[in-house]
Amino acid sequence: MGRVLNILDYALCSLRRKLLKNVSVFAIFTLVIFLFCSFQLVSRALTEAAEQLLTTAPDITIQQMSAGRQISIASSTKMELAGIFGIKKIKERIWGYYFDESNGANYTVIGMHAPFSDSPGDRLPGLSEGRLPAPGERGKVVVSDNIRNHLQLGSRKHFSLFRPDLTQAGFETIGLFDGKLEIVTADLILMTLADARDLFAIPDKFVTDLLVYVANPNEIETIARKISLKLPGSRVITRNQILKTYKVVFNWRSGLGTICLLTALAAFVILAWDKASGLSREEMKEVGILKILGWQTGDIIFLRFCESLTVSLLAFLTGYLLAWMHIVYFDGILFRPVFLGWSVVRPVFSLAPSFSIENLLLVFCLSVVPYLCATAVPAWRAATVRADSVI
Amino acid sequence: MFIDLQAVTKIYNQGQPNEVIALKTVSLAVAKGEMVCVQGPSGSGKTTLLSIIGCIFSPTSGRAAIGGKKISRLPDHFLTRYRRELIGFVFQNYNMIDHLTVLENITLPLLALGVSPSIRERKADHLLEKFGISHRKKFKVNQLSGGELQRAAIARALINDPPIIVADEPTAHLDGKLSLEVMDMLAALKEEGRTVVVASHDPIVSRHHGMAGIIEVRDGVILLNKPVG
Amino acid sequence: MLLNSWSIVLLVTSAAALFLAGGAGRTAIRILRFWDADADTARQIQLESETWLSALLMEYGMVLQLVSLLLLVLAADSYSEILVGAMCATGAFLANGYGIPLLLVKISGIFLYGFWIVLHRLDISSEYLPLTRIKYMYLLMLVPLLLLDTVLLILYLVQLKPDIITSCCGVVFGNSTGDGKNLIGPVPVRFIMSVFYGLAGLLSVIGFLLLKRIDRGPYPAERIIGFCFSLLWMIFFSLSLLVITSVISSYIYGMPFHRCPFDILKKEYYSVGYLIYGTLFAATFFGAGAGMTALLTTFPSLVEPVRSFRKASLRLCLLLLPLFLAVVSWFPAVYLFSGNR
Repeated sequence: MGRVLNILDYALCSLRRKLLKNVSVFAIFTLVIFLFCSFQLVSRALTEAAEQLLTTAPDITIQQMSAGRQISIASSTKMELAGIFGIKKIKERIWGYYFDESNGANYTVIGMHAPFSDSPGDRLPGLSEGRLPAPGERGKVVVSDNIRNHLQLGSRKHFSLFRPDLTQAGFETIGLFDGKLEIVTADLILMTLADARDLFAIPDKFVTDLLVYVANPNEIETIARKISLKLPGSRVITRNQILKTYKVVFNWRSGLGTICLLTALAAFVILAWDKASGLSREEMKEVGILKILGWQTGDIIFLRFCESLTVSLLAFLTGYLLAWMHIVYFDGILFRPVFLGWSVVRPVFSLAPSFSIENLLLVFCLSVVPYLCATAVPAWRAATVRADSVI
Repeated sequence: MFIDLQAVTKIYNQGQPNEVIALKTVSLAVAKGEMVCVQGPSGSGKTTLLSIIGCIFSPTSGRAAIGGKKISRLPDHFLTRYRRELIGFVFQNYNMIDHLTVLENITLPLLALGVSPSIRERKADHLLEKFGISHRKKFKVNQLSGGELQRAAIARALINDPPIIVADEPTAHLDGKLSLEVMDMLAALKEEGRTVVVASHDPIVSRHHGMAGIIEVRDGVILLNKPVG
Repeated sequence: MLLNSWSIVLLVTSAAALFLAGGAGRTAIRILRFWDADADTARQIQLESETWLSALLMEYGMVLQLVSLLLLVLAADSYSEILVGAMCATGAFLANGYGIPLLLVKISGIFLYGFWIVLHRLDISSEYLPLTRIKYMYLLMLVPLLLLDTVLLILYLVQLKPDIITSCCGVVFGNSTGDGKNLIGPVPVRFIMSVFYGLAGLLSVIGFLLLKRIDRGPYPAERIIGFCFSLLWMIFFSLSLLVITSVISSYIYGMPFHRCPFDILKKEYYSVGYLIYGTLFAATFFGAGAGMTALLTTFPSLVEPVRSFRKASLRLCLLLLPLFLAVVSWFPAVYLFSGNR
């Protein structure tokens, strides 16, 4: 232990002496790690946000497909599923996109039968003010603050949207979605089923999807399988599958970003090899003196290892911390577009990734490990300076 | 004998076109507590002889025993271990590390042995006191005079308490007075029971009263191996 | 599923390990061709200095293998969230035919690379370096193992198909083999546990006797006993993995039908898996190492270094084995003594 501490102490002094060279390596390494970490943390934060938000999604969603495209599904399809044991409830939903020509925004319109939240497990996004439409009410909607701004409502509550035949449908905002869930509600207009049917001119007895709620969460997959057998032309999606898909998408984008950053890492590793390989006459003399005074080759290798480890660990911690601050305090501004894509109605939300040892280990292995491997051979070369070179 | 070389040969680049026979079946014996002088012109094999005595490398053939340890055909890490235990070096160019202080230079051999900072400083203080340079302990070595540097170098050579001191041209950059001082210090080490091998052309060295013998090396062979008298 | 951060890090780590092995392998070939311990040529001096390089690369490689095993398990846990029918890392490993072989190759690699380091340390403790040729031949035999590791990894990752919604239908349900969370079926518990504790006891007794005997110098049956001791340790290791998976894990989870050896690494279970596997791997390594190195006493210059190593290893395995047994026995004991609650 004494030997380790002594050599570590010598290594730290050695780093201090070659400050410029080491600071440049440290700075570039920190940047590379910052980029890696930012990607990982944004991906993680979005995955966690998606996990949290998907608790509002139904257990199973049924959509009708024709020629590979979604079409409306008959409400009477509910009757065909009546015999499946374990289904607690089936609700109808109409949803679609409304394109607002005045500002080029796409709103998501969801219409469901009121009351919207009449049982546990039927969780809708919360409201910051107002109420949800009551059963039988027409023309009442709940919107987000974002939409209210896009529609330029100000203190007004009434606005109109165009039906397909260009007649206007009038609406009154009676509630406002909570800002906490803006990632989901930023472009959402919630209304009754009848209003949505009227707005999109969808025929009676037809809806866009059926939402299935199951009594026992462990039975979701089984029931979904049964539904898909009963309704062969339909698409049956579980909440778990939606979450998995989001995870795959975020992981995929994170992976793509990592691949791109690998080129930066490779360039850095080559730089590190180059910097470590160059032995000045002074350094050669120093190693020769140490060898002749009784330092083993292994001691010199360990000395160089301590130097590399110190630089890389410091860079790792600094890069990670900076990435964290970038995500938490600056909302991951550098990489959000990569993950969130393009949108006029862009949700405003904060990312708060949880700390994870696994994530730390992942970035550590992507950064510090290649660096240490790159400096292994130069460390050995330095250690094999012969003792008789100083005589 | 404390340093015992029998028919030692050293060949560099053996089997290659640039093969050089630096030492040819050299035999040498130095008793414990003796001080001897090795002389020879440049390229004579004197440095090679010193390197073998100093456990820097093994001979190509022959038998070499230093301080009771056989060093013929030893791997480098064994040589290094014996060198650390047995040999203290004093160099012509001092071979101090410029960016370290006198204290740090002197205690370098103890770092890799895992000796704690307090013990290192205590040992160093004792030696610095002995050689009269305690007041320079925190100075960088490039702030010292030639005489002070050589005293610091001798202190470093003694930090591990080795039984053998190998000094290569210790008086090369010193004037007559300082040269005599250095030789008196080395002779005092001999009086302590250490074996001292000094390589030098300087007559102040070869004629020093402490010198037990002169070894003259020329073209890889020992021409003269005689007591001073 | 190559475009995933975990996949990328596994591939990068594998690439780093191959780079290190390549460097070490190059030295191994040169040494086997040109090594002459009695020579004093420039080449021989260069080869001696290259042994330091190969040792350094192998030590780095060993650490990489340890880390990559952990990464693989963590990656599998991450993959299980997006694979069909996979409930935990077990399901991810069972997702295709390459997962379990990959895991087994990595686990065996740790012991094999570690043993090379033991050989190297013993070799350099003798001034004659008697094991040089043997250890580099052994090193060259490890390179194909590392290549196999990399090939299996690539095949495993390429064959992983994430569970995503397609345009035409939902997904195909329940395609994974097994039930996605159980690595093996139920086993006869009493019989297995008797053999498990019996073998542990036998190893403890033999280990204790070997430790007592070691200072009295070499004896005729030393090598065969050492070899058998190593073999017993290997059997114990495999049996322990079986016991942890099929018996102990259920008690840790408190669920009789959840037999997964990986979830015990999770925070929800106090990451007790690290302690269990850490003590098991270390005890096996030192125990088997103490046994195998007995074979090296044929080299007179290694008698003393091997004796020191074996003594230290036996002490360590005799310390770690009871610790391992205590940790794994704790959970069923608590269950039994708390009245099956």
